[in-house]
Formats: sequence, C-alpha cells, structure tokens
Amino acid sequence: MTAVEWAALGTEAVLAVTVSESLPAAREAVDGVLAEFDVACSRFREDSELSRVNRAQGTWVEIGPLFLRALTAARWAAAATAGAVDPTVGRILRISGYDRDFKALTDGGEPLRLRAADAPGWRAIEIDASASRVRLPPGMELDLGASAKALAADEAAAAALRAVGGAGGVLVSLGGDVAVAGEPPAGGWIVQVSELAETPTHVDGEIVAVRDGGLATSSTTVRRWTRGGIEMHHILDPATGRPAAGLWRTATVAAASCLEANAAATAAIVLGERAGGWLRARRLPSRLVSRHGMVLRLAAWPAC
Amino acid sequence: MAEPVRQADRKAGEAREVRRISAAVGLSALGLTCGLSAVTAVQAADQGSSTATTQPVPVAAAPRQIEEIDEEVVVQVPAPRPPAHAPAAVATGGAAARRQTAPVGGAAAAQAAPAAGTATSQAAPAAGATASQTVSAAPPVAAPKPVAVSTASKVR
Repeated sequence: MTAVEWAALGTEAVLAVTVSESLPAAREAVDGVLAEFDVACSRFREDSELSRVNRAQGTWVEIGPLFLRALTAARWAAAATAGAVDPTVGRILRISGYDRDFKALTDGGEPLRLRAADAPGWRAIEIDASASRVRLPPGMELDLGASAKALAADEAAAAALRAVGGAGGVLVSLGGDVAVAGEPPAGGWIVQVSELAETPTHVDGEIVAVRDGGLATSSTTVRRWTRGGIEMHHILDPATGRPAAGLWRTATVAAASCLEANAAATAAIVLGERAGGWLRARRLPSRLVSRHGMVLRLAAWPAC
Repeated sequence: MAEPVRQADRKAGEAREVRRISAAVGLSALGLTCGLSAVTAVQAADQGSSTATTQPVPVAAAPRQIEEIDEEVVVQVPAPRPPAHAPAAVATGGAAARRQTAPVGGAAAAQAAPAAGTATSQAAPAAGATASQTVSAAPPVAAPKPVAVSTASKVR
C-alpha cells in the first residue's frame, strides 16, 4: 500500500492505493476531480460557478454537470436530514465572517447586528435539470461546503479506481472526509478518528478498519473564529441561523458513501439530543462526542 | 332582526366547514344537506328563532361547490444508507502489541478486522493465526499506522 498527502481545496488531501504502481495514475485522476470541484463549488473563488449562481439571485443561471450534481447532492442532504443540513446558509456564513478560505480568516470584526427574517430554505432552490440551470430567490446564497467536499471524495475515489483499471483499492480523504472504492486491503483501511485535525496519527486515537463506503466527521471544535468577541463555528443550525449549540460537539458516521456519512454527521451536530435516535433509526454506525467529552457509540460502531 | 342574520351567516359558515369535512371523508352531498338541515332546524327551534334562512335547500337547486382540498404530497427521499460493512475495531498501542502475533509485511493488514457489525475493542488475530499464537509472548510491535484521519474540516 502506498499513500500520498498534499494540499487541496483549502484542506489536506490523502490518496492511498493498495497497488503501489497505480499511484501516479490514481493521483492524476484525483487531481482532475478536485480541480473541477474547486472551479465549480468554491465559495471563495469569484470565478466559480457557485459564486456566479450566488450573484445571480432571482435569475436562471446555466450550470455545468458537476455543479448540477453537487447541487442535487446538497438538496438531497437537506431533504434527507429534514433541513438540518441546508445549503442555503451561505449568506449567514458570509455575514458571520466566514467569507474567505479559512486559513486566511482573521478573528475580530464588529459585533453582528442581525435582524431575524424568514429564510426561504433549500426548498426554494429551483433546479431545472433538463435545461441544466438553477435559480435562487433574491437574498439566498448557497454554501455547498457541507456536501461538496464529501461528494468530491466519493467521485475522486471512483475516478482513481477507474484510472487504474479497477485494480486493487483506493482511499481518498479530503480534510477528514474519507471515501474508499475497490478491494480494500486485508483487514480494511485503517482510519483514525480524531476530533482535532492536528492530532498526529498513531497517537492514542480511536482506530477503525473501513472496508467500503465513506466515513466523515463533523465537529464544532474546528474552524472556529470570533466576531465581536463571540466565538463562531462553521456548522450553523439552519433553523436559527446561529452556530449549532447542541449536545454533541463531534460526530463521526460511517455510511454507504462519504456524502451520506457527511450529511449524517453534520445533521447529528445540528440535531443535538435527537441525533442518537435519528442515527439509530437509519442504522448508521456512529461515534458521538458530547460537549463534556462523553463518547457514545451507536449502531454497530465498534467498542474500543 | 340583526341577530338572526348573523346567526344565519354563522350557520352558512358552519355548512361550508362541514362540506369541507365531507369532501375529505367522502360523504355524499345529499346526506350532508339533509343532515345539516336537520341540525339547523333543531338549533333554530332551541333558540326560538324562525327565519327563512334555516329552510333546507333542495339538493337539485344547490349550487355545485368545488371543494379545494390541500393535499400534502409526500416525496420519499432516500435516507443515508449504512455501509455494507460496519467499521471494525482495531486495537491500538499496548493492546495491539499484546495481541499481535506477527507482523505481516509491517502493514496495517496485520490487524485483521473482526466480522462486520461486531462491536469489540480487541483486534482479531491475523488470518491463519491460531489461538496459541495469539497468547504467545510475541515481541511488542507498533499499532497499525492509520492511512488517514477522519476529522472535521482539516485546514491546511
């Protein structure tokens, strides 16, 4: 097995293959997918399709097939989580100060003085798939960050496997969102679950073996910043427009794909006390960490 | 005389409400009209009121009323699906070292995962290993090095 790491999409990309000779071809395929996602879905690029759609509120905008897939995935995530994961929080994220790549974000700024207003929500996104176009109502801005990265991991893993002729297995991790494809190594892909991105691997982390699908972690412990002296983080509760402040600070979920795992993990943070029942009902292996550090393992998540 | 008029208006309003209900439950217009007339007559008698507005309307002359019923269209959205194989436990640190029988190529593959869906904190012995090998005093070896870390939005 061979693995390589590099910076991509404002985060860290990891590619591992079971057949070492296939790494260059797999890497090329992954690079291609990530570049396409960056051009289509980045909220921080003025020339991205997402930025173009966000600027054109109220009018139809033609979109490419990848953006259509990403938007469809985001809308699915919203529907499947009953709105707990909603891509229409883009405007409040921008106003809250998360308006550039996170590593360029600085603390500070005036206190926010927001006036509550009805948010149209994800149902107000108009998608005309047959004509490849989308229209947002005035005032709506999208943020596909919760789902696009996970979808990118799924598509990159699939593309890498195709690039190597389906030989062996492939793992792609984008900022901690993990997707695997093909035949896993004996015993599965060894993945560490950590709350903090800076936690070195191999250091007292909970380690699990993953054979298929995806694994994603959402947490309020990272991507935090302050605005007007108030600490913010990037997971917003669409019902309130404010950072989620529920029972769980971190949720890791395994699912049939990274997209599904990501949607469920983010939903768990937003759902708070209802998350356990929601995850159990869907038989999603999950690991939840409460604000006080208590760890709850659900639905076939292995005990440590 | 104003009171009977208001009462009549109220009755008419009730009739509209009942019609909505009837449309929902599938009652016939005929049965509804007769039943409503009877109810209206009883109520009018109780209150000592006798106005023409309480007279039953012949069914044949009743205007057809098209009821608008809001229907909630339920769209089934596929829920997030579980993986085909649940993540398996992999022991770390000392536990892994104690149970490790022999390194297999130095790779993570040495840590064979238990069967899917099991929840155990102990890694299963590597394929082919026997029980006696498991408890043998094998030299401690390092826990498997993860190939990736699932964490939240790693920034780089």
